[in-house]
Amino acid sequence: MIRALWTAASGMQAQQLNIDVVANNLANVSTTGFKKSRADFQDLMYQTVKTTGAPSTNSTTIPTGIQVGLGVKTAAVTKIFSAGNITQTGNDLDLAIQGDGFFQVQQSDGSTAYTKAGSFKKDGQGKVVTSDGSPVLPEILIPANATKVTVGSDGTVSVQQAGQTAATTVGTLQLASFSNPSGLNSIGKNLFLPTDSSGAATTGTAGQNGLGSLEQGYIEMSNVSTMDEMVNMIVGQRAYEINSKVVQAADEMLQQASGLKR
Amino acid sequence: MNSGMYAALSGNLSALRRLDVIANNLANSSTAGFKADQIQFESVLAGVKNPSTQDPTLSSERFSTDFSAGTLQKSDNVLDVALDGDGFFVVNTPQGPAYTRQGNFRRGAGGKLENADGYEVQGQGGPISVTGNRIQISGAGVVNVDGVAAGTLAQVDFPKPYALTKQGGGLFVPADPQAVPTASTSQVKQGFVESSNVKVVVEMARMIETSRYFESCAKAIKSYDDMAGKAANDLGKI
Repeated sequence: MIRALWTAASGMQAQQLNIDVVANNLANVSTTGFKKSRADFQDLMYQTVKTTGAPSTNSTTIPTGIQVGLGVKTAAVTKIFSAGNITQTGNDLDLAIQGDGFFQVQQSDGSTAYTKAGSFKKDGQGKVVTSDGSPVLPEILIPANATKVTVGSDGTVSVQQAGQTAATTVGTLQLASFSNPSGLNSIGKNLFLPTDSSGAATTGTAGQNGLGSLEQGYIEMSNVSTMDEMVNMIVGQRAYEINSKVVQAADEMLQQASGLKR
Repeated sequence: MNSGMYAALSGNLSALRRLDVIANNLANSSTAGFKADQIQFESVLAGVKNPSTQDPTLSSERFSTDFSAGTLQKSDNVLDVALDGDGFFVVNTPQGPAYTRQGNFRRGAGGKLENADGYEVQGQGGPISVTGNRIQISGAGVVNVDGVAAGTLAQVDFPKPYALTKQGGGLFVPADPQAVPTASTSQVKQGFVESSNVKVVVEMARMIETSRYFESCAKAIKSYDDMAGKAANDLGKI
C-alpha cells in the first residue's frame, strides 16, 4: 500500500508521545522539585529509489538521487534540569538547593535515591524524612526537646534545646551531584536513580565544588513553565492533526485508485 | 492500447511518491535538525513539453533536500548545541563518520559526548569526555568541563550544492565516499536546538496539489477506459 500511510502513522504516534510528555509536565506543574521532560525525535531510515552518483548515461551521473524517508521515531525523552522557582514557606525543614546538587534519600531496600524536593518532615523518632517517610542521608535525628531547628547554607543542622542557650549541632546534610543529570532515571515520588549515562554520584558539602548552597524555609518548585507547555501542546496537537490529514489524503488516493476499475 | 493511459499512470505513480516524501516531512516536523525533502512538480511535466520527440511519460523527477536552517529553539539543556550558520557536527558511526545538525547530545555511559543514538560526537582531537559538573560550550565550540578545556567540537562543511544522502537518525553522509569535508567555523550555541526546517503550510499546500494531481490523472485513466469501452461495445452496434 502507500508508504505515506505508515509514515504519517509514525508521525501521529510521535506526536501522541509528545502530548503524553507535555501532559505529565503540566500535571506536575505544582510538584516540588519536579524536572520537566522533552521528547526528542529523529528521522527513521530512508528507502533509496534512485542512487545519488549513479551513472545516468555513459558520461553523466545523477546529481541527487531520490530518497524517500519512512517517518519518525522517538530518540529519547530528555529531562531538563534547569532550576525551578524558589518559594518561601517559612517551614524549618523546607530546604531548597540554590544551584546544582541533589538530596540523598535512603530507600526501603537500602539503596540511595536522589531528589530535588526538599520538603522534609520529622518522623516519630525525630528523624528527618521525606514526605514518604524515607530517611534523608546522612541520617539526622532531631531531639524531642528541640525548640528550633536551623540549617546552615553548608548543610549543618543545629538545634536549640529547651533550657539551653547554646545551639547543638546534630548533623550535616550532604549533597550529591552528577556529571549528566539528564541521564538520571526517574522512579516517581520525586526520586531519581543514577544510571551509566548519569555517572556515579559525587557527594560533597553544600556550597563547595560547584554544589549549590542550602536555603532554609524555601522549597524549589517545579521547573515546568505553563506557557511553554501550552505552546508545545498546541504544536503537538496541530502536528498530530496534520499527520492525520496525510492519512486522509493517502486514503483518498487509494480510493480513487480502486475506483478506476468499474 | 492507448499510450496516453500509461502517461496518466506515470503521473499517478509520481504523485504517490511525492505524497510519501510529503508524509515524511510532516512526520518529522518536530525532529530537531531535520531537513525537508522535495520532489519538484514542474519537472514531472517536463517530459510532455515536446511530445514529438519524447514519450509523454515521466522521464525524470527532480529530488532535492532543502538545507536551509531551521529556527534555533532555546532548550535550557547544557548538552544541547546548535550551529548558527552552515556546517555539520561530526559523529562516529560503525560505518565511519556521519554528519548531523541535530545537536541534542548527551553524556554516554563512558562519559563521552554522544548523540541521541549513542554515537560519539567527534571533537577536533577525537571524542570529547564530559565527566564533570559544569559544562560550558563556547561560541567557537570549545567544551569546558569544570573550567578545564576538554576539547573542541568538530564542525565541517561540504561544497554546495550539498551532495549528501540521509541515513536516518538525523545523520547525513556524502554521496561520494571520497568527498573530503572542509572545516567550518559557524557559531556554536549552547542550550539551543535547531528545529526542523519543514514548513507545514508549504507541505499542506503541496499535499493538496498532489492529491488533486493524482485525482486528475486517475480521471484521465478513467476517460481512456470509457473511450476504450465505447470502442469495444458501442461502435459495433447497428
